[in-house]
Amino acid sequence: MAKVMVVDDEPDLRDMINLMMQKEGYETETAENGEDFLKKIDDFQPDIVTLDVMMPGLTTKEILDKIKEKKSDPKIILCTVVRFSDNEKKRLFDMGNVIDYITKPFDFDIVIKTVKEHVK
Amino acid sequence: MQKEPDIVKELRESEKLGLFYTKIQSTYEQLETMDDIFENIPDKTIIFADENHEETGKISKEITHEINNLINTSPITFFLWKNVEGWPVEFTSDNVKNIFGYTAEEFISCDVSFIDAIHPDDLKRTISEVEKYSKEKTRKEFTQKYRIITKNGKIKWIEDKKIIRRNKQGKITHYHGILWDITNHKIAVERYKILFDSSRDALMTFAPPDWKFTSGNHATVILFKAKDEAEFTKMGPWDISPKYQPDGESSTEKAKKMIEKAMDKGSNFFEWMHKTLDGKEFPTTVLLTRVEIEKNKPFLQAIVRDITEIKKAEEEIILAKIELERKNQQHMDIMKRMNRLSHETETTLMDLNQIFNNAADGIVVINKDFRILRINQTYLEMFGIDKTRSIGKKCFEVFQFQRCQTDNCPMRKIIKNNKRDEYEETIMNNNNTDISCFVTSLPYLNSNNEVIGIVENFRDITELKKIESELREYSEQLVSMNKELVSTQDEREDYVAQLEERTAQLQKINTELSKSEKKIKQQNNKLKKLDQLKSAFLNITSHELRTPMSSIKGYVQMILKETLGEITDEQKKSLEIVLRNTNRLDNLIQDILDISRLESGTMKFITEITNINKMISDVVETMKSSAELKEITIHSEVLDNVQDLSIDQDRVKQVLINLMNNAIKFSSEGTVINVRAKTENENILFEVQDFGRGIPKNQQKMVFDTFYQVDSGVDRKFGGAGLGLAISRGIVLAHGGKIWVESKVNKGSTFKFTLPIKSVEDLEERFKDVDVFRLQAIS
Repeated sequence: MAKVMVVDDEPDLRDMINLMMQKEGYETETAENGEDFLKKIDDFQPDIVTLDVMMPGLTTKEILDKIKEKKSDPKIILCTVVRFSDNEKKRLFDMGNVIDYITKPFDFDIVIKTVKEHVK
Repeated sequence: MQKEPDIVKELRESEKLGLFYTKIQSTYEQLETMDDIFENIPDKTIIFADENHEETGKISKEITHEINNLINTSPITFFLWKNVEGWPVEFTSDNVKNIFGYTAEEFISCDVSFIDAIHPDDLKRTISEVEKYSKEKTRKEFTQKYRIITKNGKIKWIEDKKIIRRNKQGKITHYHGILWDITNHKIAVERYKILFDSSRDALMTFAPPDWKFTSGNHATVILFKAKDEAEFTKMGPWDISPKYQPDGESSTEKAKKMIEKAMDKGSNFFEWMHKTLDGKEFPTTVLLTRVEIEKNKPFLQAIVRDITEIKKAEEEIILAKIELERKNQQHMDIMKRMNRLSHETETTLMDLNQIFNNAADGIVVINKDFRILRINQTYLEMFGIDKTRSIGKKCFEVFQFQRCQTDNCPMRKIIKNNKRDEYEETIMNNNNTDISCFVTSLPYLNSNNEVIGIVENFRDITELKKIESELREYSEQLVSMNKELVSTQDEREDYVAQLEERTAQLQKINTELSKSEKKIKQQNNKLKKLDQLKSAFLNITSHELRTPMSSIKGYVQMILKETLGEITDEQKKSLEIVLRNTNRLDNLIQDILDISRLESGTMKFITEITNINKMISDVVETMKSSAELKEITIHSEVLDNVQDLSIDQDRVKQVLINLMNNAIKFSSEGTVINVRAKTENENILFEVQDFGRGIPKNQQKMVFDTFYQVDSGVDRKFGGAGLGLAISRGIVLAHGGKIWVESKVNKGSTFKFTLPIKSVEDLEERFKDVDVFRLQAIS
């Protein structure tokens, strides 16, 4: 079964996505910010990561750059409150590892569908 | 397929003979099987077995007849020699005459001995060969080639296949000979050999299965620096090639491909890198031709030509071309520079001319013969002279100054002194006006510094003179005024006192002013801070409001889907209400965010090419369920010619959804809503029509204002914050369109908006120029 890592500084949101993933049968792990995520990633070796783009501490770009130095090479789904233009999407996806994004407030079905799609 | 050389054709002729021989051979083998029958007839052979012999007669008669017929109609001659001293001929076929010129009779009767017919140079070899093969106990046959001399002295080459016949004791009794004329074949081979050897091209042959060289001519031996042909024929093509060809392919692999192609297509012409036996590489062309002299035994002939010189020449041509190109380029550059210079010169000349003509001073250039060479516009105007009547004319005739033709003529002075001269002069011009001039005379020099004329510069100082005299007058006036001033000294002191008082007042005002300036600055800072706060508020609302919404929505959805365990119907219904209200709240937050963004000019627009038909049917599909609740039917109509637009599809959909939401909200149950799109001039016109309660004329313009509600009381019933239309208007304006409403109370409303067909390049940029909340809706 695939491994999903939920990275969000908002405990309620983090727990919720974590629960959704567990109920879908994925093995899960959580992280409360970029540093925490980078600390845990190589132990857990996730297949998929849902990564909040607005967290205190490291910026999304810094996190994405640092993943490159790690052993793990997970697919990353960004969680955001804004829409992206095609250019912005391209730039995001060029940063490596990023494969998709979901917008807040999350719709249960969309979160599940998005993760499921990339687990294959 | 290449044309077959004559020589090969001739070689092939001999093949027919071979076929013929094969047929004879098979007939002969039939006879062999009857050996047992004939063994009792010691001195006879089947060919001329006694026709009357009881046992063999019948068969032999048939066979003899057949063979004789066969032999006599063929180019083959048959001999039967008895194995005794001198090999007397016991039998020979009648057609022997065709080859030897002697008749069969002449041979059988021993008028001519067969040995005598053999060429003396080949006789010894021929006899020793027969003796050698005869000693081999198991040998049945052997083949010889030798020359004979015919009856009329001609020399011919013969191939002679001899069959050895032994009696039961193993003693050789006879030799059968099957002979044919191979002179032509021999000549062909000789000619081929001569051609082969004397060719200046390297010719070689090589044959399957191991594809080693079978021959190589003199040119080949020299080209590859072999000792001799024998050394060359020990090798295959890969031994005279470098390990790799210039294209990187291994020579062995590539050679195999080339051979395969030549064998398949008949010939193959290509370039190949070869190598001499002492290791020097050189480029060549190779023509491989398939040759098949003996049936099913094809081999390849190769013609190799050293193209080192050609390659070198090619390279030189390329270098020469590059050089030529470079020269061309240089030439072009020079031309360009010349053009530029010529242009610059022209411009400079024009500039100089302009400067000359527009100079503030009148300038004239006169040569030693008193002829006017140049005269500028200022001069002409100053003295009222016509240009066409002055150039080339004598100066004193044109100007008629008082000083002309006197000792005061500046020309005369210049020629005398070669010195610059300056003086003031009053000259009457052609309009009889006196002009005061400051004149500068300069010698006009050629490149050798010789005086060839004069340049005169006239500065009009008439005005200056006038001012000078006025100044003098003023000065006198001042002196007299000064005197008066002294007398009003006392008055002045009073005035000073007054001034001081005023100054003090002004200083006070100034202090107050700087105070209020400080205040304004403080207020300004406050405003800036407020603006920052507003931006921060936007960020917080977008993140902080929506984050908790996510948790609420997610958990409710999970519970509803019974992911966290079963729930009762009542719980389900309650949670559905929670979810619906959560969505409503979320929509409201979304609307407030949109309004804030529109207001602050930070709304994000993402354009994409959009099919209008599809967009409208998407929206209708979305709205269907809420329309069905009120049993409202939505009719949509998009005219075919409506073209695709470059717009922010999601935002325009939002406009349509807002309008349709309103239409549904204000329609009575069971009515119809029409949605249309059509091309109108340079715009696409969208319409959403309902047959609801309508909007009074005086309120039609205000419906697009923020937080406006047609009737607060009623709208409480209908719900909504009054933001939808304001947002819609902002979106439409940003797209460069217009939005308005046509409505009659109790008849219904038609909301209309246009979007321009020509796409607005940068919506966000454009949007900053649109003051969304001050413009009024246009009807």
